[in-house]
Amino acid sequence: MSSFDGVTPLADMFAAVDRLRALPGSGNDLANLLPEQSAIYAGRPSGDAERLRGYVLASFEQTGLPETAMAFVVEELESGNSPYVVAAAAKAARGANAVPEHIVSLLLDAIERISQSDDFVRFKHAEPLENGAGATTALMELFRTLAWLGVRASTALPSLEAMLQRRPSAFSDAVRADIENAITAISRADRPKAPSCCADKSFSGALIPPNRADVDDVELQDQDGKVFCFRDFFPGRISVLTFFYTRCMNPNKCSLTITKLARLQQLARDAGLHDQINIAAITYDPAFDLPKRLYQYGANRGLSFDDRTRLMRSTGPFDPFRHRFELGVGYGSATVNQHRLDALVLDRRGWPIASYPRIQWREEDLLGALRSSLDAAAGTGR
Amino acid sequence: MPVQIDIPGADTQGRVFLTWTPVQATARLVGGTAAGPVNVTLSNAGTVGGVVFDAVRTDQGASTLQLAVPGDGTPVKFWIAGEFQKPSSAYGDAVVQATDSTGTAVGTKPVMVRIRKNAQTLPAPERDRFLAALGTLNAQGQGAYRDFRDMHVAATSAEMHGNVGFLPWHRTYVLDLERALQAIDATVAVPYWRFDQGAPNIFTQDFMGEADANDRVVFRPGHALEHWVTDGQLGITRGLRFGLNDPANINNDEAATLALGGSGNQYSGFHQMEIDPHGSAHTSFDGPINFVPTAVRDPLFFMLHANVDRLWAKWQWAFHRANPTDQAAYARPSPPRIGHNLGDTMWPWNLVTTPPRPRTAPGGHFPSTVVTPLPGATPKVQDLFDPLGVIAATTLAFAYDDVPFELPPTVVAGGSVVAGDP
Amino acid sequence: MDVKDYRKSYEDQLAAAAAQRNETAARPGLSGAEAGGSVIRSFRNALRTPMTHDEFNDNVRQLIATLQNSALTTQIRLAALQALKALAFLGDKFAPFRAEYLAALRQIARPGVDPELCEKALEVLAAEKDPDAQDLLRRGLRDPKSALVSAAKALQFLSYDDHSNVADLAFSIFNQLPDLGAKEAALRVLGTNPKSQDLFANLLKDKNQPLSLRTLSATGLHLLNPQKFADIAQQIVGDHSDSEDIRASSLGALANTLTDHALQTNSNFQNLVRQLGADNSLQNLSAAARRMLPKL
Repeated sequence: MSSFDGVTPLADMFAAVDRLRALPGSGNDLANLLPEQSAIYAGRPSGDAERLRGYVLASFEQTGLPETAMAFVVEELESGNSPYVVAAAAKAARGANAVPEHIVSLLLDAIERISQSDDFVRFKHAEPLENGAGATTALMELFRTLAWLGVRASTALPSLEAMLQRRPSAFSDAVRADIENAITAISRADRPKAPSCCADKSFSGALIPPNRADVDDVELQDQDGKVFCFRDFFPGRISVLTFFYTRCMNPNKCSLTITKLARLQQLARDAGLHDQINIAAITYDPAFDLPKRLYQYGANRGLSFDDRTRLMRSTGPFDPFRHRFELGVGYGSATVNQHRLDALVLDRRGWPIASYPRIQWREEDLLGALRSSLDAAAGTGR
Repeated sequence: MPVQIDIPGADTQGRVFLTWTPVQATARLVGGTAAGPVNVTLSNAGTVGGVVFDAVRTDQGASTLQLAVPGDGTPVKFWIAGEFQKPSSAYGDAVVQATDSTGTAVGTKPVMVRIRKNAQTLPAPERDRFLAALGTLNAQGQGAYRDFRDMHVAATSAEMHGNVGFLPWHRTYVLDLERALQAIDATVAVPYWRFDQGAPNIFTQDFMGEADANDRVVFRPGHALEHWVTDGQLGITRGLRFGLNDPANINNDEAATLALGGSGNQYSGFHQMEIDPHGSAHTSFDGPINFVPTAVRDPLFFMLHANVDRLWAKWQWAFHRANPTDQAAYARPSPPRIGHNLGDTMWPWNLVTTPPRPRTAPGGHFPSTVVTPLPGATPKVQDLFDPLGVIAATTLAFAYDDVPFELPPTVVAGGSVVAGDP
Repeated sequence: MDVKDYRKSYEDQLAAAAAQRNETAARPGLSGAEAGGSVIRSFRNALRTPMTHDEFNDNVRQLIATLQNSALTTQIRLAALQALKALAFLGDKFAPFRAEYLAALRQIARPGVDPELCEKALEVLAAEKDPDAQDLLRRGLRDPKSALVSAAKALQFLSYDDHSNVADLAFSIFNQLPDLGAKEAALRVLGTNPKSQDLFANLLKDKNQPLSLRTLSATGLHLLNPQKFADIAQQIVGDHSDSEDIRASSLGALANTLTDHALQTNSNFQNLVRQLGADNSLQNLSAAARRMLPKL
């Protein structure tokens, strides 16, 4: 697959994935294709990038889901809004030997999120996407994963019953049949299908390995048009840094990230920590997200700007930040084509000390991480 | 001796905006030292907008009112309302005048009777003020119109479509935009596109634009919407699928729409107007206004929905359905869904972003205005039922040119709702 | 008019309308004998009285079946599609049918289908950001022989998705096709790509370009580089040798966003605007100037 890139025709890509998924032990090779910045997505329109990524994800039902790929599955179930990719994530979960504790709530949330955007999905590229025998929809795949979980999904039973009882129904007859199957499978299974992994580790920030990329001299511009370098803002205080862009097509990602930053800001104020931390977000799309646009985007989501809270764009390319912070973002011809959730805590040098990729962080948890960092910094003088 | 006329809800420039709803005002002698009261006559000295007066809260206001104004400067109360079917065109074309017994004017107060009008017959100056405010709100894609765009997308559709809350939510939405426009120009009201009638004056280069052969909407040079931007492409795409002089491709005209409630005039039937004429009006075009996720790219959306709201307001007036506690005035959500019950606050103005609500709430709380404290920062469904205040003696500060203020049969003039009656 | 009299008059109108109301569809064009027409008529009749949920569901199923039925006339199938588009506004209520609806549209959005029906189906799919529909549209732009819709329409449909990579194709269309409509459509989507700034600036300054292209360039440049736009617009507004229309258009764009520019406090510019506002011989330009005056 190393010879494939963003200009390889999609049909060829699907065929290559088909060949790979047929090979024993190919799970890790497929997992390497998932990161958003992978060359196979570069330059593609978002729709194509999503189709390809979903196609790779769906393969894990057949090959088994490596542990390294579980975070991708969780992110899609938690935040994805593409029925195709969410369906693929549901299929991928069925290849797992161990699933997160909260997999059931993830599946139920995904069902709620895409209930009004259900669509037929296909994961064998040679087949037409039509309403034929054996065709499934995104919702059906989600319910099938609940069925696969068996008794592990017993906490979902009340919700599933309520879905069936609801009048008028929000589900087609085919989907309702899968809901019924899931209820039957969950009710009858006498032992868990897949052992759970240990408690949810989603909010335990990972360290970013040091790398040589340096962003200190990268020029930034904030929502008020002020220009400064990275080194002028971040060093000196503990910082939370997230990434976003105003044209993000998934409201569960960038729009929500900035909304949560605003809530984090308020929590920090209430805790008396606001003066001690920076709250910042840098746009993936600096050429389009000019200051006025940054200002509107943040203000409309409740962010209150001051010297310590800013939305920013790089006045030059964004690449230095991609490399420095190992961000999961890919680009089409004009803008981002897909990206993961990314949040970082930086120390007083502006170095990342914790990273929270692919999860919907809670404001309280991030505040706790900031508080810990402040305490640790007070102890070490860093 | 001069008479000062005070009407509540004046803005920082002292301007007063009325609708058809009576508001309680006062008149008092300035520097009064007279021993006894001074008789004055209140009347309308304006040339376009009309106002009516009464001593009590009523729907039978008269063009004049005699007042005995205490000589010591104590204010005397009276009620004033816009005269139905005589809305203003500009601020100050309605004038409250107090004359003494010699016929000399002793006090004047210019006001505006600010009313939502039929866009087809909207005078050019009013049209242009509306467009100018709209263009400023959009600010070539950089303005606060973006919030309105972000509120009405696929991911948020359950908050406002397919259920009983469709009408109150969109009433709130149009009012939110109208207040945003009024923050730019207080004399503006959102005009409605009456889609069951031909509206050739709307789809012109001077108003909402004229489609070229590729459905690109063209405006005259310098028009306030000429540089309209939302997302995806510059400008507006809108192709008419009906003749310019014809109504839109709807099945239910106004009378048929009002009849949807059946012989009992029930909301449970009436709100089916969401399909037709509402849905049919949207899909009478080619272009983004056809689809829920993209409809707000086109500012015609708000004129379409002003008419949807006017139809609801007309139905409420015609069948006395302004009281949310009236079981015929509303219905239970079906399927059950938060945001559609009478006592529910409405997203996004409630800033609630925990599922099943959408994860973000663009635009913040509902905007306040000096004219009225209603519906408040986090309006509930029930707060949008009585815009003219026929039940609750309060107002949302908007009205339509063909929906009058009329006290329901169970309310006596000057009184309130008889207990136990809708 | 007294409100009681108004009420009486209105109630009389409603009563008269009820008496006249025709239970059959009043819309022209569907004959009683036309296959599939009964479904459409039945649906339109159903709109006049409250539908139960079962009736709603039955109507939707029949409309989708009508849309899918290639044995029916285009007119009937278009009528079914129009009805379904209106129903699609209903969110939760329409949700059970959405997958089938999209599947039916995919069967129609392909070569060999009536062009009007195909185009309408493509638009709906494009608005849903369907990748297959986007592929078809992009393919048609690259290879006009395979195009299912005009270049202008293809660009419009692709613009429903900011992330459809339409800008690259739009550059090509703009440069290669002589058709003004296609060029306009191309510029409209190029506004999403910051790399278009120079093209917009050059077109805006070029007095030989058609007005529509210069106007669209003004919009695009303002979106992508407000300061650069303001600099050029200021020159255009003051250039009496340029067309009144582009001067009016440029001034109109500045009027919407004046507080964002240093021009608001530029005394030379203010004087120019006042002069233009007072010159009644310049209709559009004066109107644009007068719109700006209160903001100075």
